[in-house]
Parts: sequence; structure tokens; C-alpha cells
Amino acid sequence: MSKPLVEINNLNISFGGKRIVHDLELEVMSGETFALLGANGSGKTSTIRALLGIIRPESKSVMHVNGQTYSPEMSDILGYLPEERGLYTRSKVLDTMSYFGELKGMTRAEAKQLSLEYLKRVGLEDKANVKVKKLSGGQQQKVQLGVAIMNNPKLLILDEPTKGLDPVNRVLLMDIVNELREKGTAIIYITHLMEEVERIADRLIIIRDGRRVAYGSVEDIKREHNAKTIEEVFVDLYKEAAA
Amino acid sequence: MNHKLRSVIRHEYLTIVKQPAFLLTMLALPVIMAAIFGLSFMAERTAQTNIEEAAEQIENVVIVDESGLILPDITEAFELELRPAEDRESTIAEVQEETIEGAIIYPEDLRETRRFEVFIGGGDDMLLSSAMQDIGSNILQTSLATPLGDPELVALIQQGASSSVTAYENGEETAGTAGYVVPGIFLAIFFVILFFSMGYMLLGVAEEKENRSMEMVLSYVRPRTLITGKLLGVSLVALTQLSFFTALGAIGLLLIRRFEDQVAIPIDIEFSALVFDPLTIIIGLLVLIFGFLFFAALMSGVASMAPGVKEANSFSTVFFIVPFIPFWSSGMIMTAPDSALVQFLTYFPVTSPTTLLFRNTLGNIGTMEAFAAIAILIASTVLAFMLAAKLFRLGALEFSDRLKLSSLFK
Repeated sequence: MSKPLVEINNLNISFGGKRIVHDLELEVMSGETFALLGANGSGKTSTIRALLGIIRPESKSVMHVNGQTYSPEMSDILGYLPEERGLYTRSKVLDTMSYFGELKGMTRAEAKQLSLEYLKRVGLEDKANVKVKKLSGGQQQKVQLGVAIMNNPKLLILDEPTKGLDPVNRVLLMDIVNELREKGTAIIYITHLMEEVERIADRLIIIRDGRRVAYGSVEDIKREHNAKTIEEVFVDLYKEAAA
Repeated sequence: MNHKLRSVIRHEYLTIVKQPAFLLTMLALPVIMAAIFGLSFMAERTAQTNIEEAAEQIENVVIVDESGLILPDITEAFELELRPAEDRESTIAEVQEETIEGAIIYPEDLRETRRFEVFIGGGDDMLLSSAMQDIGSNILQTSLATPLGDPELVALIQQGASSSVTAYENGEETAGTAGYVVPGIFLAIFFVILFFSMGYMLLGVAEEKENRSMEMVLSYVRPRTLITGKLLGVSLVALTQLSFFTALGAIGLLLIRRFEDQVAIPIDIEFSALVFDPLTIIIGLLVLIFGFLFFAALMSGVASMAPGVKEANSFSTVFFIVPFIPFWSSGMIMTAPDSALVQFLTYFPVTSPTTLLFRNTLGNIGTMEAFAAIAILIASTVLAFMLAAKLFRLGALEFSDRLKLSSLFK
């Protein structure tokens, strides 16, 4: 069996003396879409931020990406679309994309070429020299996705990627995600839309109050919880906690 | 240089200099300065000309001399009637009735009070009032000086004399005020940078936070690399502005030299008298560089703590005021450099750059003292930089609230 691309063991995160993630464990394999699910404030975003070194977990936590602790020096393998996302509104689209490409280790020429190819694919080639602030919300979302995937990442983390997208662009995004998965990219997908999970996820984790309450393949989890849908499992698990 | 650092520097630099506001501000400054100087110069000249013209047109004004100091020949030369002391009241009555335009009365106690009186009929007239005061002074000065007989002595009394100062140090003649020019330039540059470039550091960080790009950026770049890139990018912006202003200054000087026989130059510049002392220049350069980096690091820390540009701007006001504090103690800095207050201002990091540059200009700082203060400034810059990087990392996660200082220690 191949080695997982992402390994998280004993992840504990505390803020202001309060622990918000408890002994979390998960693995994500190359070429799979892994859904990270949980209610608001359950610890999903903090887990990703800790994985990427943006926040510091407690000392005994173990997090590996591609066999080592992630650092910005490995950014050539990463694509990250955070929940709180935005672009340099006063810069031109192509300049913004190229800059992020350079931050991922590409040369300026490479970054420009890949940006133009992506813009052409998503129908924004005529916006390359337009300032980001002149784009519509949906167009900005597409550019943000482009920034995340332009380097053909080994690990793609998408935090609520379809938020604010119309159905046409949602389908386009799903196509791009599936294409990357087929190329072997490991995708961590955070969403509140359970039908999306059913459609694209291979495996998933459900986090409640920072603890893992469900983990495995979509079909196994449904079977274990005797449920027809993931939404049913999710609601049952949260109801159980409230009871 | 690291590839990512180079990208951040280029991005920061180009983002700033491509803004129309940057070019406008840079071009507007010399235009505004020229307009202010031009207008005030023209206004002063016009006012003086008007007063002189009004003085020439004064005819129906009477002089009353109670002091006995005014010479009849002088009032005659001005074509004004001179009346004896006993005509005081009747002359004032004529002014009240407006049968004469005005009167200048030199009172009996003029020697003690050194004050003469001007009476004007027909209401307040600033121009006439100024013109009559001018004539009054002129008649008095000329009357007092004329008995000396020598026109040069008369001119000396009327126009006074300028002075030249020669100072010696260890038996050698010092450069005098010319010695202040070169180190003074570092002080001027520091404030130009503080006002024109520092704001870009604040905006660069605050906007990154406001437009929510910080988290994405931090997953690809270390906070320290990002802050360093921003600092160096803004430094290049400052260098661009300085080069522009220097070039403009050089053009201005060339124009002044070209037209010096036609234009009155406010300051007499003698380039051969300027002193280029290597130690003074090294001190000025070090303080300028680390003073700039220190304030820029503080600015980026402040911007990281604020949720947006507006809040960051209001936070930052203090950094535009604090560097001025030493000027409020300039008297002490000049006369008592060893006093406790001046020593504190010299070593305390936020007041240190201005005080060091000021004292370096005055030449009242010792080499050891200067380098000790610079060492503290460098250490403070490193600390401020580390603090800014930490605040930047923590601030990336606080998009709506102000970052609390207490979170630094968690």
C-alpha cells in the first residue's frame, strides 16, 4: 500500500487556554478526494492552518505532508484556497496570478504562461490585464482557484470552494477538481454541502467539537451509521451530541 | 537572493509605483512647494510695491515735531509740511475733519518711548497706514543720521550690518554653518522618507489583510520573508522618491546658478565650503537606514494588528508624531547634550534617530556615544522586525477584530 501524502497524528490545538482540536488523526492518499466535514467552529479550518504551519499546534502533534512537516519551502506541491480568501484588488489579474506562481517557486515566465493557459480555459483570457477589483465576484473566485491549482499541486486544499459560485462555474470547478484527482493530486475538500461530498469524495472525516466522530470511505460510513446519505449521518451525529 | 524574497520585493515595489496616486504625490510636492514660495514671494513684493507707491502719492500729510529731532530739510525733501510742536491739537483736529489726509507726530518723549504717532482721516486704511509708518520711520532715521555727514554712515545706520562668524577648534578654523549642511541632509532625508514612504508600508500590510490575501500568501512564504520583502520594497520606493527629489533639487540649483543675476537667492550656497567628514557621513547613513527600518517594522506590526486600512491609519498617527519629540527639546539638545533628557532621547529607540541625526548635524555627539546609540537602534530594529513578523502571522487570522497584544505572549 502506498504511503499517505498527508498524515496527521495526535493533533491538539489550543487558543487562549482552551483546546479546540483533540487528538485528531487522519490520512489523505494521493489521487483521492478527502472531505473534511464539521459544523461551524468544529476545528476544520484550524486543522488546515496547523497543517500548513500558519498556526502552531501543541508540541506532541505530528503532521506530515509528503513525509515531512510542511514549510513554505514546499509550496511548489501545494494549492490552497482558504475560506478567508482574496486577491490584490489593485493589481492586474495576470500580475496577481504570476506573483502567486512565483511564490510557489515558478519562474516569472512559467507563472505567466500557466496563468494565461488557465485564464483561457475558464474564459477569462480577455481579463488578463484588467485590475482584479473590476472583476465580478464569480470571476474573482475563478482567479482564486487558478492561483491554487496553477502549479498542478500534489496537495490541493479547498475550503468551501463553491461558496458564491453559480451552477455553471460550480460544474467547471468540479471538472477541474476531478481532473487533478485523476492526475494523482490529493484533495482535501471542506464544505457544508453534503450533496457535493456524495458526488466527489472518496473518503471523509466528520469533526465535532474538535474530535473525530466519523472517518472512512463514504460508503463505509453510511453503512456503519445505517444511513442513506452523508447528510443523515452528519445530522444524527450532531443531534446525538446535543441530546 | 532568495527567489521568493525577490518576488515579494518586486511585487511590493511595482504595486506602489504603478499607482497613479504615487506619481501624483511625487509630482505634486515640488509643484505645491514652488507655488507656495512663488505666491508668498509675489504677495510680499506686491504689498511692498503698493506701500511704496502709496507713500509716493502721499501729499496732504503734515509732520508735527515735538521732539526737536526732525530736520526741516528732510521733510522738505519728502515734500511734506513741517509744523511746530504747539500745532499738535489743531493738526489732529484737521485730520478728524478730514481737511488733511493724515499727520505724523513725533512726541516730546520720543527718545525714551521710541514711539511716534500716526493719525489718519477717512477711516481705517491699511495701505495708507503702512505707507505713513514707512515715511515716518524714514524721516526719523534720515534726520538722525544726516548730521553724520557721510552717506555710507547714513546707509549703515538705516540698513544695519550683517555679521560673519569664525570659530576655532584646536587652533584650527572650523567650517561654521557650512559644516551643518551635509549631516543636515540626512536629517531632512529621514523626515522625507518618514512622511512619504512609511505610509506605503502601513498600507501594504493593512491592504493585504483587508483583502483577505494574507492567509493564502502565508501558506507559500514565511512571515519573515514577506516582511523583509515588504521592507526592502518600500526602501526601494523611498530611494526612487529621493532620487526624484535630488534630481529636481539639482535642476533647481542649476537654474538658480544660471539666473542668479536675475533672481534673488534666499540662501547663499557656497559648495566649496561644504564639509564631507567620513565619520559624520557614516553615522548619518547608519542612523538613516536603521531609523527607517525600525519605524517601518513598527508600522507593519501596527498594520498587522488592525483589521483594516482605516484602523491602521488611526493607529499609526503616533509614529508620525513621536519622531518630532526631540525638536521640542531642541534648545536643550543644542546647549546641554549631556543632560539626562538629551541622553534619554539619544538612546531611546523611537526618539533616537531624530536626536542622533540632529546632534550629528550640530556636531555635539562623541563617536563612542553615537555608535553606542546606533547599536541600541540596530538591536531595537531587529526586535521590532521579529515582533512585526509574529504580529503579521497572528494578524493573518484576525480579519474582523483588532489583534490583542496579549496574544503575542500565548
